[in-house]
Amino acid sequence: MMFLFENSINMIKYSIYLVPLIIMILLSISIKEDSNRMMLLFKSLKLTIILILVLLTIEEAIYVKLNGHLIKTELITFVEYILLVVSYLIISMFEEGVKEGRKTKITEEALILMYSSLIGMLISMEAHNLITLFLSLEITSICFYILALNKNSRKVSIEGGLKYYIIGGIASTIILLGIVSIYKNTGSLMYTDILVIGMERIGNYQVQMGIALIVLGLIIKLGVAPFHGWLIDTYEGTGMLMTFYLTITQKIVTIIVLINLYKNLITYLNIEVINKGLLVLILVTLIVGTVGSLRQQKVIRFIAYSAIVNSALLILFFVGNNTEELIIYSIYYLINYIIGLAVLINIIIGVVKTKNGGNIEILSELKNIWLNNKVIGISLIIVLIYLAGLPPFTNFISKIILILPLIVEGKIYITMIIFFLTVGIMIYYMNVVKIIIIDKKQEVGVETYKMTKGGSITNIVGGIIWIIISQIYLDEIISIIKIIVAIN
Amino acid sequence: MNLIDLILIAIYVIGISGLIFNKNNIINILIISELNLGTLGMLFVLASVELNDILGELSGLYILTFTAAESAIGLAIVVILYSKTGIINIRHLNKLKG
Repeated sequence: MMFLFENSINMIKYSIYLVPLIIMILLSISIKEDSNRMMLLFKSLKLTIILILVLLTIEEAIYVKLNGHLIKTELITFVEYILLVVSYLIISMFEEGVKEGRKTKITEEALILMYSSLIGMLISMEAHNLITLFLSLEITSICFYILALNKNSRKVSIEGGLKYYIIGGIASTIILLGIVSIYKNTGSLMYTDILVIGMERIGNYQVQMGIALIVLGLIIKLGVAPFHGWLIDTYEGTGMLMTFYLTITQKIVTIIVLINLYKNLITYLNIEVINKGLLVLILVTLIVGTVGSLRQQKVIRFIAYSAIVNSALLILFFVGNNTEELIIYSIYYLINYIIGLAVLINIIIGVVKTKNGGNIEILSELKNIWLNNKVIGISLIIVLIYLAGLPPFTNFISKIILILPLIVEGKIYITMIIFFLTVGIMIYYMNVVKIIIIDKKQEVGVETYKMTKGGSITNIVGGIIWIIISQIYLDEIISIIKIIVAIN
Repeated sequence: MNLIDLILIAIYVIGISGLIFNKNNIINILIISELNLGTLGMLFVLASVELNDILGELSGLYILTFTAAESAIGLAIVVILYSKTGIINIRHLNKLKG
């Protein structure tokens, strides 16, 4: 009886996430005027995210809930904070766009779907049961299929959304095949049980194959080459801000799920197939991302290629042996990447063509930022150099501490190849800098541009301050992350 | 691994290859993804019968629900595509190339 009571208390605790959703839907139906309804939705979404943040701080950092289906550690709590803060930032950017009447297309349904996908992501980061993991990942990806279609008046957007739907469906069936294979051989879906039974039959290839299939499905969803074509097309179809939301959230969630799998199953079961296969995929991704992005003309495709290259660097922790350190470094790299990308997208969105009100779409148009406003132009160049990983900025160090531990383990040739390929990444970021400063202004189709004022400027200033300050207090930041994550 | 498992896995492989080699119709893709998920649900139920465990049957039910949701979204995408462009043929979707 006591057990039932505890479970029902837990149910009420979890349904607290659903109450704001119901209120939002009711409100959105009841108000007739469009702009008021939109603003009310934005405010309620922001309040909901703040509510979840407060709940995260109140409840304990480590817990086991729902008979071990959900387990939370300090690392997961920390990354949940990052996820919530990033989504708050993106929603406020959307609000800014709607207030100023920019062409950032967002509908009420998309906002509600963003909120539901956020809940799915929060659950899938804590999940320690395979079927819970699968269902929560699917809550997220069902919302994403529709969010990728948010500019559905264009044919390109529909095509991108359809590609995302097909590839997402294949990836989820592959994950499910892995889960079936594990369930058939161990009789359980909990991580702990699978670990115990898997340790008994260490040579059982079907369990190992199942875990490898799950990792493969997650990697297809992350967009690592050779499964990257759909990602670029999908991102081209959606808008710039929605691309930002999709890339960042997808990366955070997939990496945390991979870390969970790694810490709980893969390290103990000695699955070397995954390590070797992932190394090959990482090298292929670095080559494809570098070569492919050199011939791009559109800004959004450039950002998509940088997204797949960075996701390859983020899963480097799988290859090394000293994983505990590497996980901290990849979280640090993730934070740096998010801040750099946020500033870049803020700058690109903040500049509007005065004739037809659209944003910058082609890379050569970025030169107009430099010609119009030198301060914003310099901060754009700083951000590009920062993302490229050139030495005065922090991203250089966050890359090098990710790659250097491989040398200690004796994998010298692989490390050298990765270093060469990071030089390639620098080349294509510096190519954009060259377009901005050195290339001549295009005479054909020159339009006038203006900078919009408001919240985007504060985001840019904040990002630039982080870029400068984080070099001075480098050791302190890493040690703070280590203390928060509770790994020594 | 018994005969029924092998048949089901063969159906799954046929479905995946159908997704890869199909170049005509989007409705085919919807049906194939439905088929794949149904096969995997069946595998779950078979495993649960073999192990004498209720968990697999429950998972099969969850998978059925998920399949319904996903195919509804797929149909919605096809409807949008048809109303905007008037085609449901894959060959004409060539605006984006990798």
